[in-house]
Amino acid sequence: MNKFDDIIERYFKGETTLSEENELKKYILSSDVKQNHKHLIPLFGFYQAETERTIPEKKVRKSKIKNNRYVKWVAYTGIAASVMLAVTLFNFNDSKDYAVIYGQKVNNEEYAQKMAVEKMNKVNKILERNLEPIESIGRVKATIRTQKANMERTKELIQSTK
Amino acid sequence: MDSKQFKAQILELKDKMYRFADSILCNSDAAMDAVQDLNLKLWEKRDQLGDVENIRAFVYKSMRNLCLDKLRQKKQFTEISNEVFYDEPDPHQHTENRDMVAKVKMVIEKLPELQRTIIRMRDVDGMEIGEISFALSITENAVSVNLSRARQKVREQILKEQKMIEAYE
Repeated sequence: MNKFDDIIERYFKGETTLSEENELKKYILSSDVKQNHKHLIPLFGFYQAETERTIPEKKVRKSKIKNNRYVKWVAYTGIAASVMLAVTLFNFNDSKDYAVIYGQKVNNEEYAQKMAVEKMNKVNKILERNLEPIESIGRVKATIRTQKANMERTKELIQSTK
Repeated sequence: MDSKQFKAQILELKDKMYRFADSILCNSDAAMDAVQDLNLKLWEKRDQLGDVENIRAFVYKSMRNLCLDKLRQKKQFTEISNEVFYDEPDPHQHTENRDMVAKVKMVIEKLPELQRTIIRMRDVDGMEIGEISFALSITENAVSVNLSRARQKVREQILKEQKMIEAYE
C-alpha cells in the first residue's frame, strides 16, 4: 500500500492535517503520481489554479469617466487652468523675462519649462486621484435618483389604491 | 490598527476575499464590489480591529456575512438544500465537455453553500479547522463533518465522471 493511499482515504474523511494535505497536493500534481491516483489531478489542479486567481483590475472605472460629462468638464477645466497658470508663470516674452520657482528668480528658460511641465504633471495626477470620489458621488446620485423615482411611484400607487 | 497594518493584514487578503466572495455570490463583478465594500467597512472600523485575535478569520467571517446580506437584499437567496442534485450529462454534451477541471469547478459550485465555503477555505486557502469554525460561527466538529461530506461528494462525482469518460472512449 502506497503511503498516499492512506493519506487520500483520510483526506476524503476530513481527517488529514494541513501539512499532510499540502504534501498530498504536491504529490498529485507531480510527475511521480501513480496511475490509480491520476483521477485526482483535476481536483488538485483546480485548487491550485484557484489559489493563483487574483482580483481583476476594474476597467469599468475608466470607461465611466469617459462617459461622464461632469467629470470630463472638471478634468478639462483643471488641465486648462494648469496650462494657463504655467504660461502665466513662465512667459519669457514679457518684459520681466524671469520665472519664480520655489521663491527664487530663474532666468534659465529650459529649466523653467522643465519645472512647469513637472508641475503640470503633478496637477494631472492630483486630478486623476480626485476624479475617483467624484465618480463615486455620481454613482450615489444616480442611486438616490432611482430611489426617489421608486418612492414617487410608491406614493402614486398608495394614492391610487385609496 | 494604523494604515500600514491595515494594508499588510487586510488589503493583502484582497485576492483571497475576491475568490471567496465569488464562490458565494457566483458573480465576478459582485465579488469585486464586495471586496471594495468590505475594505471600506473595515477601514471605518480600523480602530477596533487591533483587538481582534485572528484577523484573517475575522475578515473571512465579515466577508461571508456581507455576501449573504447581498444575496438576501437581491432576493437571490434561495433555500439551500442539504442534498445536491447533479445533472446527468447527455452523451453529446459529454463528448464535448471533457475538461475535468471545469467539471470539478462545476461540482464544487453545486455543493450546498456551507460545504462549498468550507471546502474552499480549507483546500484553496489552506485555513485551519479552528479558523474556519470561528469564521463561520459553527463548531470545529461541524466544520470537519461538512468538509468530509463535501470532499466525498466531489470524489463521487469525479469517479462517476471518470467512469463515463472511460465508457465512451
